[in-house]
Amino acid sequence: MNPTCIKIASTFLLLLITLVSKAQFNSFASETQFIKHLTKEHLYKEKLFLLQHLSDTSTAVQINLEKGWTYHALGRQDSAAYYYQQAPYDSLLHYGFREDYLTLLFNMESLDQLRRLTSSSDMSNIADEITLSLDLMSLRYTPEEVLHSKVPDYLIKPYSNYYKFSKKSGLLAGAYSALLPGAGKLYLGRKQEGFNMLLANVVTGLQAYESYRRQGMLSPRFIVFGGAFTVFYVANIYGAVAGTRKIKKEYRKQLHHEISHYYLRDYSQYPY
Amino acid sequence: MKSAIITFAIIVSTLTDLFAFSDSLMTRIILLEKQIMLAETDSLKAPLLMDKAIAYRQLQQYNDALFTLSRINFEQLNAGHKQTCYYEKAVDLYMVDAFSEALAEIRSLKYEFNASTEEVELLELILLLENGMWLEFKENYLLVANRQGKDTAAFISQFEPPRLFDPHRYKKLSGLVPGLGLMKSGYVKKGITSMSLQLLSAGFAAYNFYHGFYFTGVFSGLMPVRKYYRGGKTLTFSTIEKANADNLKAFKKLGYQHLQHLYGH
Repeated sequence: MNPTCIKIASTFLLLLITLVSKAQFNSFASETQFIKHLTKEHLYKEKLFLLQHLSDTSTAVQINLEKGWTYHALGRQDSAAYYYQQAPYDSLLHYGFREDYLTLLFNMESLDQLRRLTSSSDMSNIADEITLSLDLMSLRYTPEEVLHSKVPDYLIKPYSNYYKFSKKSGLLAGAYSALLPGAGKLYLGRKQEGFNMLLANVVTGLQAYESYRRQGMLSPRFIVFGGAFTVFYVANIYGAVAGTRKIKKEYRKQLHHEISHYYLRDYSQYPY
Repeated sequence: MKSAIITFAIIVSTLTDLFAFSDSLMTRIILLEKQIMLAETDSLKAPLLMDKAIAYRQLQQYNDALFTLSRINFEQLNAGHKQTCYYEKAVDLYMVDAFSEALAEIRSLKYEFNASTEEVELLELILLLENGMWLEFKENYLLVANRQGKDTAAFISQFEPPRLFDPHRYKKLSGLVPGLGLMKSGYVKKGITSMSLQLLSAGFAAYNFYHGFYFTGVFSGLMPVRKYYRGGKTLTFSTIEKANADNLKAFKKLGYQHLQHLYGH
């Protein structure tokens, strides 16, 4: 027989095997116990494969919810959100996946969407932790109020840091740096960076001054060192202004990380 | 036209084979897991887990294979399954570059069960090579080659461990005379460049001091000298380390070539 014919015949045979193997998985209802077992054993890849090959289409909502939860557990947030959004919102509550979805939205920093959902009327019995997390991210409390609230101890420090630095002004930092190089960074709490900036400006400034004193303003030496000093001085002001935004972002990220990983982690637990 | 159709058919069939192969293996994995769930005792679960690990290895998902093997209650395995388990673990660990752990597994297999199949011997040789145990590799290689009646003259003459430089010693040399460590280890151009940079900076510092530019002499002359001096020493260390790593890589490659000669595949 022609080798090509053998190859094509084997292809159809393999396709047949694949089709037969697909038929080995039953409906969602009959595989529920097995799905729970896969979840318990953390066999998420296998669970996803099974969910993709279930022959029953009448339970598409449950399959999408299970897929959403599994992708979330695997850390693939975009896929998780996609499958959760394929299911009607009511079904999330009905099958117990609502808190995992809300946690997912928080982890993805979709805070506006999360706020819309939590403020709607049917969300009265929403978990306190999610509401509180949202309040913390929107800086609803002062650090003093937080001390007397239900916020856990390990969130107080990152919250206070974020609160404190969110009030810092970039313009003020720039003005401090213009008055004394590095002072803007000190105002932002970055002592080492401020000291380095001061040192760089002093080093180039002294050389520029020395060149000016000995050879005058039009000497090549003064032009080189004066230019270098100007660059460092301007960079010092720009660094302070841009640094304010960066530092605020860092503290926000830190608070978000603490809330996601230590506070809301339990809300991603499998509902069954 | 006919050849175009045949080419198209071959491409389609090859792609289908790949898809169907991985899909059917995954299906097998799921069905095995289902049986594992239903199995009531560890002794019933163990061989199923082993089959599942092998399927994962065939899918080239070695971490999943290792995870599956870690679920086995080792005490419940019979002697044959224990041997397979050791071997599978060693192969999977080798594939994820955990060479010393893989060698430990293959040694357990060898000494507990006196296993000396061709696969076990080959894997042990590879792992000795990867772990840098040259002497043991040489001994085992010669043992196998003599048993197979293969000519070992080329191996004996070529397989000499590479000469490795001591990076700390050359770093000290570069500390003593800038660039000397690099030049002595054969990197003459790098050594001269490093030395020149330091001499130029020192010269610039001296020129400034001589003309009364003391700040410039310190900040643009002496400070770069210090920086280049330290950088020169670090460069020497990293260059020697890289050279050693390259030599070892080439030596391992030679070892693999000899293994290919010995086993012919």
